[in-house]
Amino acid sequence: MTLSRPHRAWLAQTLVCVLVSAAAAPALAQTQADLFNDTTVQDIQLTVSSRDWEALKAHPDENTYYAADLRWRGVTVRNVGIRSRGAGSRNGVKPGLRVDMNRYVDQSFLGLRALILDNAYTDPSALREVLAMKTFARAGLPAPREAHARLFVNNEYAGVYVIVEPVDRTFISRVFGAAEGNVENGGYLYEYSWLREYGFEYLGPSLDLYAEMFAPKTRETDAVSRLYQPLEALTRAINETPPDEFERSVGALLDLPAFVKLLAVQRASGEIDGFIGNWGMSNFYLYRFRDGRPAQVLPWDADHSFWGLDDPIDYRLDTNVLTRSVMAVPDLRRLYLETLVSVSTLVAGGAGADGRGWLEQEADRLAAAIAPFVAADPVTPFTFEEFDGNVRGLRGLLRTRPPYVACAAQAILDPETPRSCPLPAPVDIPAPMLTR
Amino acid sequence: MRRLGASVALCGALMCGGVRESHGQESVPQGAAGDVASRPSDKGPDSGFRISERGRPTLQLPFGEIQVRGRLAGTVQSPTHDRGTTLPDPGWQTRRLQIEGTLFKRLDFEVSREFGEALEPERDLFANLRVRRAFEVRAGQFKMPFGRDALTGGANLDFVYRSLAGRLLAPGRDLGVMAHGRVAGRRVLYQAGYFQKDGDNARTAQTRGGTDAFAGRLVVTPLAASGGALAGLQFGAALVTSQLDDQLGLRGRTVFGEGVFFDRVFVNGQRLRRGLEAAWGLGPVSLTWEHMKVSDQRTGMGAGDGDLPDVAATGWYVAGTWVLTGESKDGRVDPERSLFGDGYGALELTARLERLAFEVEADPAGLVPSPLITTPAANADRVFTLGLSWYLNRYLKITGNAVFESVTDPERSPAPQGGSFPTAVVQFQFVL
Repeated sequence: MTLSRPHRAWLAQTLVCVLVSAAAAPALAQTQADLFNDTTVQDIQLTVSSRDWEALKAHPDENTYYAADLRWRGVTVRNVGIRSRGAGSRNGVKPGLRVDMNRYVDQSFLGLRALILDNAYTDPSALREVLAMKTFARAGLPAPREAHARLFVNNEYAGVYVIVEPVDRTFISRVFGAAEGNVENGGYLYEYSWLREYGFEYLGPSLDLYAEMFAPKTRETDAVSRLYQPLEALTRAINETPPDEFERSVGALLDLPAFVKLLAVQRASGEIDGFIGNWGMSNFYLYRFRDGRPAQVLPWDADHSFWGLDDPIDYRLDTNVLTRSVMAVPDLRRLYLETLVSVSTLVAGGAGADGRGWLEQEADRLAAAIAPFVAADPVTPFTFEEFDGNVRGLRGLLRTRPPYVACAAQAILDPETPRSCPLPAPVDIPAPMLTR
Repeated sequence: MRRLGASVALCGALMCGGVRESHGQESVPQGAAGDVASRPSDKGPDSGFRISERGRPTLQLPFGEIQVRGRLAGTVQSPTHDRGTTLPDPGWQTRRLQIEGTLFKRLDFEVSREFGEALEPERDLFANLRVRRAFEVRAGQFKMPFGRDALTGGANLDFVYRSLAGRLLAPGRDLGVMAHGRVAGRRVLYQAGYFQKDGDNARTAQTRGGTDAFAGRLVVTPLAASGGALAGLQFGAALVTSQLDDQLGLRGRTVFGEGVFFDRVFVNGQRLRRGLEAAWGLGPVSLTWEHMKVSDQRTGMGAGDGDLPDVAATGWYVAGTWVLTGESKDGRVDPERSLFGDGYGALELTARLERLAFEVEADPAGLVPSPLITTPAANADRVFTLGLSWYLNRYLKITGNAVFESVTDPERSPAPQGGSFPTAVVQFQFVL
């Protein structure tokens, strides 16, 4: 059969279309859910000039941005901005990274404006951050999505990282709706910056003191009174409202039930650097809704979760004005205790004959998935033996802390029933299937 | 796929344009003022459908006529290593359909729509009553009288893109009412009106722009009657005020829109736009200059409800064109010898230098660093555009522009390695 010239041209054009479509299809199919799918370890590729990469590592304390190309599963975003990030985990060996998609070019990656690549530099298991955020989410609280990844920089393996969804306008849109994420009319998001040990004491009417600690992450250039006056008012209300009016008055400004749940999750999971951390308040965002609904506290940076094995359930609640006042309200106190019970049940639930609860099973699954890549991590500060040992300790905590927390909370909720709730002791439970 | 389809469709449209080439002349509109001169003739002898002298489908009525117009333009942008693009980037620039007409000799109207645009696809939607040449009234949605480049119709642009100032600082279209006319022997054009908001250039899907805009523009052609070389010399000035209510202000974008070199800042109070313009044309040569400034107040936004310094945007350009084949420049060039007739069309050389800068208008000595206030740093984009346009006939034009862009602060440039980046773009345009 001979085709005429127009037919040949048409056929060639059609073939080109089909090939182009087929090539483009896999890239188009990727979603945020795929990126944060933790049933697999993701591979993230960064291409950055060697000089810039060395400069970033030489000055980890600086927030200087460098241009790079990001690639994941055939999706490439060019000219993203990367910089060193973190507080205690900042270092020049295995730098934690913030990747801003629209630093230079007005673009996004799967709809995300930024990504955090957490270096897990203070957690030998590299699991705590992910497990904590899973627990928040299972408890019905808004929390960043996370997944483990192998990072490659200029095609060289740069270690195991945790991909963390940033708490920003995109996150706010996802968890609270698109209207809240509106750039002009959305709500006000603040990142709490730890400067000194602080427990929500009233700092006086000067707004500067609040601005130092609560950095706006949306509507950054809005009027001073709109940004900071509500924070001063909230702090004053927390400090000056009589106990019998506390729930009503402060509850109009801050979502107290959601706050109590967050506290309970952190305490149940032995978080030592959260809202009631060992060094004062730390690692949270505050979100004020656009329509004046009570503000909400959002969790962040939970890699110090599952450390406080034997922290009592009321540990340090008396060191913070807000938590002290909240616990003085019977209804909120009860909610706190009930949440401790429910979270403990959640964490330990679904246990089979081997005694492993839901979260321990998740820890085992994730540990087994990342173990070979941890072993091959060229820049991790921990040996594989330390990783293995830490995972075992973590499993012990997940096995022993939930029963203690539930027991201690029940003992207060139901004082008529005599209970013995001894503080848990360290237990070493070897992880199954942990191979290099 | 969509792009390929677009390319094929564009080619098809261009071919169709070639077929229509045998129709008559088209006078070229000159922005809001020129729109009046370009209205369809109302001299039609009979009722019924016909193709006008300008080649447009026309419905002739006993009391007037209605015409269909349209514009189709696509661009192919070069890959740019500095900005990280690796492939040519084709796409539609405009797919505009327009219906306009004249009824009862004095009432003009226009309805136009941009296809393929989700946000505000409606363009012009207005009626214009000619009481007499010195006094006309226009009501509906149309371009606010500000900015020579912004008021020039898309089909008559000398470059693939308007100037940055014309796109970002001029207000654009909005709903309003305007008095306008020519006085002093047509040497003076005046336009003055009120608009509900302050233009579609100042708002996006997420930002609402200003409200209650009052606009005025005056253009003088002092030597129009002289008939000499300076007869085409024009000077103009324009002013627009509008109100801002704790909302985001203007944003500095690069020519191709991929970079934001100055992000929006919350503003409150009055927005004041001021513009100056000058133009001169003689035969195949033309020169244009424009300068505009937008100041946004930030009333009561500082500590203790004090005022913060205004956020100001300043833009200017100077542009020159030269029709190498000698045709006179009157808006769009109409080639004397078209490609599909007995020649090669017309060639026009164009060049434009422009700058757009944003800054917080503050006395540096008076700025005290405070954790309360985020003060955005100034930044500017300087652009030089060199172009060549090939008018195949009166309907078809291919324009190539080489755009050399340089952002002062490379950290806020799509080319962070140095802030400067060249881009080439080719536009294919069909105008009915």
